[in-house]
Amino acid sequence: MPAFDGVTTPSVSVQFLKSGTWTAVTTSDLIQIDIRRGRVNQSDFDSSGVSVVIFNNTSGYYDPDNLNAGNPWVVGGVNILRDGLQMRIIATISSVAYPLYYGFLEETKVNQGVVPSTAMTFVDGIAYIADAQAPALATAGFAETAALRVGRMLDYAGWTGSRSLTGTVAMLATTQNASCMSLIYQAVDSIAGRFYISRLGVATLVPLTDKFSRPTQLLFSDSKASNTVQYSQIFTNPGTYFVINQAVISRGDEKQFTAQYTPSVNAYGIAKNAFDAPVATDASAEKLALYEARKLASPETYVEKIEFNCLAVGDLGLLYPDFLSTELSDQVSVQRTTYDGRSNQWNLVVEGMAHTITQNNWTAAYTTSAINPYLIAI
Amino acid sequence: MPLCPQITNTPITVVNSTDFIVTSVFPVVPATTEQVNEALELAQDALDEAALAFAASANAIQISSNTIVNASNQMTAMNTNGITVYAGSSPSSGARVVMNSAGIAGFNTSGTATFAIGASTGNVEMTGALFTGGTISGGSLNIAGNCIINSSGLLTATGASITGAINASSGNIGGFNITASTYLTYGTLTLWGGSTAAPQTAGVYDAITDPNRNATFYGLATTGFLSTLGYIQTVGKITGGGEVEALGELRATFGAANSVTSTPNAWMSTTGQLRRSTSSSIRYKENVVNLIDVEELHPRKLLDIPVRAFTYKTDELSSTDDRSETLIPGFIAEEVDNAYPMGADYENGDVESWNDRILIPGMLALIQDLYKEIALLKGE
Repeated sequence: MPAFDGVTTPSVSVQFLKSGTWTAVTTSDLIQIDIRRGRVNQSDFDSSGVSVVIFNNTSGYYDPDNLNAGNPWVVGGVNILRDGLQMRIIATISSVAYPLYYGFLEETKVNQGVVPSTAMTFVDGIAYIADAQAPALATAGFAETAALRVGRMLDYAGWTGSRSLTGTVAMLATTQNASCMSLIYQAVDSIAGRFYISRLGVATLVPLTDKFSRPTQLLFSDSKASNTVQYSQIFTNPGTYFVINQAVISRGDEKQFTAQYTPSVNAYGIAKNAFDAPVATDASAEKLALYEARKLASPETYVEKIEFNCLAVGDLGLLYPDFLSTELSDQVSVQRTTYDGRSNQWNLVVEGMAHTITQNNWTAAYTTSAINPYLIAI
Repeated sequence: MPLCPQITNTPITVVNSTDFIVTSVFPVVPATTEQVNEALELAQDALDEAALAFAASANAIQISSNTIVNASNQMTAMNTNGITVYAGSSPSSGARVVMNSAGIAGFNTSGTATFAIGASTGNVEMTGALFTGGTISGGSLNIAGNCIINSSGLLTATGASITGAINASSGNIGGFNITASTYLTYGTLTLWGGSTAAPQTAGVYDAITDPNRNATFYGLATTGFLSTLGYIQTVGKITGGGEVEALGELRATFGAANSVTSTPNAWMSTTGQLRRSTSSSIRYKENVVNLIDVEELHPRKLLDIPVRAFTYKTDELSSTDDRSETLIPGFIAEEVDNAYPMGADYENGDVESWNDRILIPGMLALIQDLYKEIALLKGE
């Protein structure tokens, strides 16, 4: 990727784990890299991060059926480009490497035409964990914190990668007998938190309070002021359609707590959402209900999507390190002076991010939500 | 630390307030021992009451091995909108019997009605056959309007075909024609009369009791015989377009009051055919001339006929005849034919007899001629 010299703009490398060593793919073979992580809306669970890499297969090296001895991806007579192959995408600026994505090979499509190419689809650890099932227990057990429960699920899934799990809310004992992801989602609802695979490939569980300690990574602006990033498009949303003012918390099959925020109901009618949160105590369930009924009860305008040219991120400051280290749930700000002269600033949380990288271009799009200040002590 | 300005998110703790409505649904918690004991006591009371009710229901309707019975194993009445007995999946389709205030009705597996007994009318309708080992009693029996037996025993049958016997110990069968031309190729009509169990001489007479009515017998197309071993005796006429044949005798046993002196006017062939002879009235004749003026019929030819004497063969004349096996005078028909062909009768191309109604006029003509000649010789 000639435009990406690693000095003025980051260089980008796709690497496969070959015999325990991260081995870079020939950069000139990369036609396009797509990365999508996180979620579109804060009311969703995070889905598996997906990356699609299209290779120039003139060499034939990206054909998993190619067992020629000269093929760099043949080890001991076996082509390693098989499902489950670990890969990562690294961006490097000023000799500092910033991982953007860790994943596993899920699907390979080989175009055998006169302009041969290969499209490989990679998924991150969420898809890996989703295949696992938590075994049924004869009697309910493991009355534990949310973090411990998620950790056990990762163990069931055989997750050998790194993990960063925080969640102190006590949960009810469980008989399991469900998919590991469904039990992880119960833990996420129990702490009003979030579970995702970080750009470093770390299985990450963050609690509700995490939102108060996240850095603000970037300031997007149309002012061309120093240390700002110019955006190519922004889409704002008044948030009315995402109002939730009635929350139903189910504590397993036993109890149910419903909280309704009356001012919002009076203004917008009942907007309900249900949460499967088997927290250990009624008090925790009631607090969760209050929190979920209040968090989105008042619509806040937010920027639904921010699109920007990543090759211009460094134009107004040395911002590549901040850009490349931006993680899900980090904060960003967007400033916009309207045509009629009003100045707006929206402080946002990064819910999802998408990169599209070619030999000559790199664009990114962040989906966000409005920062919300609500807190409960559970 | 990133280079852009840091945004501080200041927490706002959510607590329950008048702005919230909080409700909860709690499951039923396990009962205490005291509650369980109380429930057991209530259950025992219920069981006791159920036992009493069961005892009180001894004379009520009960279910016993798929049968509904009462104390005496008989139900005397049911107050219900209706009862449907069925074995299929639905009480409203398939084979079933329905009993309600309208009556009783049966349906086959296709749901088609097979029988019905109307409660108010008493009408019975059925698509199948009726079998009974007893008696069918009622006002009348009407089979499709073609066969009706009324309460008086009168049978009205239109187009009936009977393959068995019709027996009558007494009474009459009358008022219709018995014919074989349409329904059967042949059959036997036997009339029994008198008190003995055998066909009687008086059978036909007894059967046709009204002398004022004609009794007409139509024989079969090929044979056409009315045969009897006895007499056919009638006060009226025996008429027919065919023949009347008797292997014995045909008798007309008139009394003196019925005797006449008129010239016999009948002719019988050698095969027994009895025919009416032609009449002699001028009303029936034309082309009248004198016989002697017709050369081919001139009576002098009669003089060539030999007058013979002979006996009849025994199989041609009854042995009871007075002239049996006795020489009797007469002509030989072939000789008559040779001399005077007009005087011979033929049958089936063969000369059979001579005809006195032909010969006598010729003979009279010869006698007249002789009489004139004798009178001339006498000078008269």
